[in-house]
Amino acid sequence: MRSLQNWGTLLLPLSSLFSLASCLDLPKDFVPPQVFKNSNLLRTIDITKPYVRETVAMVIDNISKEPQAEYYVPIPKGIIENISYLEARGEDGPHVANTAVFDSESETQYYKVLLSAPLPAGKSTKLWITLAQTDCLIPVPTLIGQTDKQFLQWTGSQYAASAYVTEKQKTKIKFPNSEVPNYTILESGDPTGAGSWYTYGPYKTVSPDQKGGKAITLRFEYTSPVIKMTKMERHIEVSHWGGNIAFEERYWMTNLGAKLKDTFSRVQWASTSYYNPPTSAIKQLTFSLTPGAQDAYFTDEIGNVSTSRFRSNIREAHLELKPRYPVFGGWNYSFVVGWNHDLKNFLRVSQDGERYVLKVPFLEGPRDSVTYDEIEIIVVLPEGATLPILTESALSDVKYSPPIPLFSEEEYLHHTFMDTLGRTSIKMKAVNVVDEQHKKELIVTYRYPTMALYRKPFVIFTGVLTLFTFSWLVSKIDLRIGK
Amino acid sequence: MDAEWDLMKPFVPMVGKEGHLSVAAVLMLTGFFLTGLFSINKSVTTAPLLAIPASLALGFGSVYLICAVGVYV
Repeated sequence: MRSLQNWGTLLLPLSSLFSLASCLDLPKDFVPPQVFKNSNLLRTIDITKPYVRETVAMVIDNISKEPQAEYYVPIPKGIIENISYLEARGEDGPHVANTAVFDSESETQYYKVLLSAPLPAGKSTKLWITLAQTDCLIPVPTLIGQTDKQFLQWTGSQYAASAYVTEKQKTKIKFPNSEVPNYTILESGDPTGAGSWYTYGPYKTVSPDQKGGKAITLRFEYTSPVIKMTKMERHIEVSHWGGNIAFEERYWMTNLGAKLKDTFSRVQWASTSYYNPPTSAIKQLTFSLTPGAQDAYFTDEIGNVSTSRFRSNIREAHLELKPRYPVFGGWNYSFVVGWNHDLKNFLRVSQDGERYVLKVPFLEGPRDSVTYDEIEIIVVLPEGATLPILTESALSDVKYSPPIPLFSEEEYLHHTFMDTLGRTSIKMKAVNVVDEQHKKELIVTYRYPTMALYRKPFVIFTGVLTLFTFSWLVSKIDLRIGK
Repeated sequence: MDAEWDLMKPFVPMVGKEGHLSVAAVLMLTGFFLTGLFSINKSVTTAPLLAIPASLALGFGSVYLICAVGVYV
């Protein structure tokens, strides 16, 4: 375990959110003090992806007599489990956001946003809150034909959730396209808008007691599959001898979209796919890898899947996969992809030649929008890269800074070819991750003494030399009878 | 940490990927050749002179050979 203080300096301030260690225990019937007022609020709900991204831009006023730094964001109990992340940003950079956990019976949970500078009494400032909510889009109807359009439904609230009085607010909704057959009409002229943007509001003063106001339900066409990786394992292996870094990713994929009404017709699929119509099935995934990727492969339980294409040049590297069958709603597919890279673009070495810094993308999923239930990132360092010192000091030899909050982490020894001790490895787990976290960087610092580098040839050298010595000794045994 | 990254120099392996096979071949062949010489000449003076270089060549050679075939250790 590394100290949390170290983290603070290493991580983006936002990444300490949700980390269980920073949860606050507040009383069950906690109500945030009414020290703020939202004088203007604009909520934008983006439902173009398989998860819902909500951005709340607001002007907050401090109406108390003291400077205030703690702004609370209420989240209803049923939703908080689905929040992938919540970030807060002010005019001059990010603020720290923490979950404040209550007694689990409480109906409303709060996130606490710690403003980077306390807001003086009577002053106002701008605040942006962004959050992503997964597993909240349901297909309606749940069963469709193979070539039918797929519709998803989302239910939310009329007003933006706020623990404070909001004087003026408006909600804008961004749909994937202009096909919105059903939406809640609150009164004539509300909502307004056409095309792929709808607007609810503006509304006059709303107090926190009104909760979200009325429920709004929207049903809209969704032309892409609802891709969910129920599990993903990413294996990153560093080789100093080979000058190589190997990536391997295992996916357990499912489609949460509408299920098939009838049995799947291969004939119909083949005849319509010629026109390449939008479909609710996952028929292709594209991975945009870091340029320079080599030796890509795509396999599943059966073996190599030949329906893949890998195009790599100095500017880009694309791995296009076609699963063995189109993955319709409720269907699953699991597969493995992997590729190699030259190590020199990812690893740097200190002047003394013993300290190394590895900088790799934390996640590199498909370009298509996806959400992940559970991810496991394993970084395998070379054998003999020194283990962290167990005391919580800054002298710890292996350090890593994940870009997103982790659910759990552990260090262990991974055993593979030509290993005597086992390779120092880091296993990081995170849950409920969305594809916005792709391409964020993971930095690992470790110490790898030159002596440790020569362990592998030395072990073989010793073994072979022992054989030579033994054979020499055997050859010197005099087995002649008499003289 | 990014500042630290900028100060450091990129990692350069001792032998690049394209050189693995040739280096492995040279080292392994040298190793086997010296092993052959060792097997026909086991006098106290020449044995260590053949066995130690042979072991070294086979030790490094096998590490590069496994890298050359794509198992990066």
